[in-house]
Amino acid sequence: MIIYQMKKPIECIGTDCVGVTGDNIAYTQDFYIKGVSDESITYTIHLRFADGSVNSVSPSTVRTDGEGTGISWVVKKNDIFTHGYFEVQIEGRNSTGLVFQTEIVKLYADESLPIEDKEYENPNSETLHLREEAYNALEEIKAQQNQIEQNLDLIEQSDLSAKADKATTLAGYGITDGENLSNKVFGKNEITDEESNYPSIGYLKNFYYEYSEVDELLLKKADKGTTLSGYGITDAYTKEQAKNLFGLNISVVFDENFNPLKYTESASISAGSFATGNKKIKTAYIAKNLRYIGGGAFANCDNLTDVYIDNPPEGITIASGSIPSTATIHYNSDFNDNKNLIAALINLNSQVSAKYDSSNIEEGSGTLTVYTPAAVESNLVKSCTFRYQKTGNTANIFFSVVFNEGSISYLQFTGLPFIAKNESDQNRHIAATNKQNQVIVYPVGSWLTLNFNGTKTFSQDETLNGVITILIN
Amino acid sequence: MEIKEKITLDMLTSDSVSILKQQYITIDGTDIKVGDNIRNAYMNTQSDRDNLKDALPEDFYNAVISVWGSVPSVSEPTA
Repeated sequence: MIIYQMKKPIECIGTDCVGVTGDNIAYTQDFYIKGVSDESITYTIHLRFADGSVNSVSPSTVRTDGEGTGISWVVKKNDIFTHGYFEVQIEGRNSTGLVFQTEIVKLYADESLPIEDKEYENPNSETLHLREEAYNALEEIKAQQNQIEQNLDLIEQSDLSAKADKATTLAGYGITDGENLSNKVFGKNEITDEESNYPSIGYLKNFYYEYSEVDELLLKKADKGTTLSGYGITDAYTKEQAKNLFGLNISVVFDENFNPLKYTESASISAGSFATGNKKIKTAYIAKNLRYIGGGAFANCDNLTDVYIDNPPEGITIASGSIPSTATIHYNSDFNDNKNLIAALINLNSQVSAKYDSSNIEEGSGTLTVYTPAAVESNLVKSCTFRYQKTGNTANIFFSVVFNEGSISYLQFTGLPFIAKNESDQNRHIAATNKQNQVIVYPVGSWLTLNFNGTKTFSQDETLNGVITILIN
Repeated sequence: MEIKEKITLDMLTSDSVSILKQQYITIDGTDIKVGDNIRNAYMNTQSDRDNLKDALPEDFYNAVISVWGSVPSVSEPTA
């Protein structure tokens, strides 16, 4: 017991070692603090060990007796970390805070000795080392035993008395489960009953050629070749034949308006034979069959700008100076047959489009209106219709006048389809009715005038058919 | 089926005009011409101005008159 007078230790009774490090709980340390007898104080025992580590433990019992307070610390497992001397200080606190701390005293803790049932938790256990070495030795013995057994097998196998002598037959080596040659056949004549014994032979006969059959079939095949004739093909054109047969085979030269000036079917042209000196030539188309352009063929064709050749360069020979250097030569590939002809004619469409076609022609009909007052009053004209055809600035007007019975010297109608130029006024036409009444017909602007050159009498349904041509104003 | 009439004021000058009338029907959204072209020309005379008024719808007639003016520019032809 350690006795304090307030915080100062004044007496130690039987106190030196208070316990051991580890799990032992073999000791109890008692403290008595004189002058402090307050039941509201809570005590804590602080421990500091030699390695600097600290621990705080709660007392097992605290009791007051009016003169002081007895504190008992039953040392529990893991209260003490390190053996040797350690420092002890008791701290008391009440609900308002720190009351006091005793002065530090030193106590001693023993080290526990290893015991058998705890050895596996002790890495330094000698027993554990011995046991591990024993295991290792046992494993080594097992390995050695295996090696011995293997060696015994080798020795047994090396027994020469168990080996066969050198031989040339299976029997010589004592082999009894080798191939049975007595079951083999060595020729077709040995094969009997193919269907049941050798079905594969039947299959081969049915589905594979005999060598003689293969020879016969191969004789029917052509050797590898590079030409149609090499394969014996007679109903196809060769490349060269096709060039000549499928080409246009007419070489043409054109003027600046793509009007053809001259053509040739020849396979060669030279100075004077085709177009020499023709200054109207603007474009030339050379067909596939023309293979030679001789010197001077286009000499002095100063306006020649383009020569379209329906052959690749290797398909034609062009003599030096045969084509003016100012002209551009356009070659064609083998199989773009006549492509260059189209190129040569590329502007032809624009030439044609300038020509009249159906879109320039207008046809129609109409009815004329009687203007002459006397004819209106007498209802002389039963009907007057026309059909017209306009081409460009010219119109042909086919008119038909049907009369009622009556007389008149001239008639004027309005409503021609177009206004006639003044020049057309002079374009007098002579016509006659179906009753042979003659009349001079002419247009004035959009008017139609019939001048009968004196009064004429018309019978009912007498008809005048005529035509006038006018220049449209 | 409705027949539409297309009127073209052709070659309109201060002295004359040629009126082209064409008839169409519409099938599947496409105008298809039917019948003849009907064409009459008129001069800017008093009689033709009267005839034109009978021949044209008012808006077309007004369009021509806006070019021709309020009085005839051409005398009536004589025989």
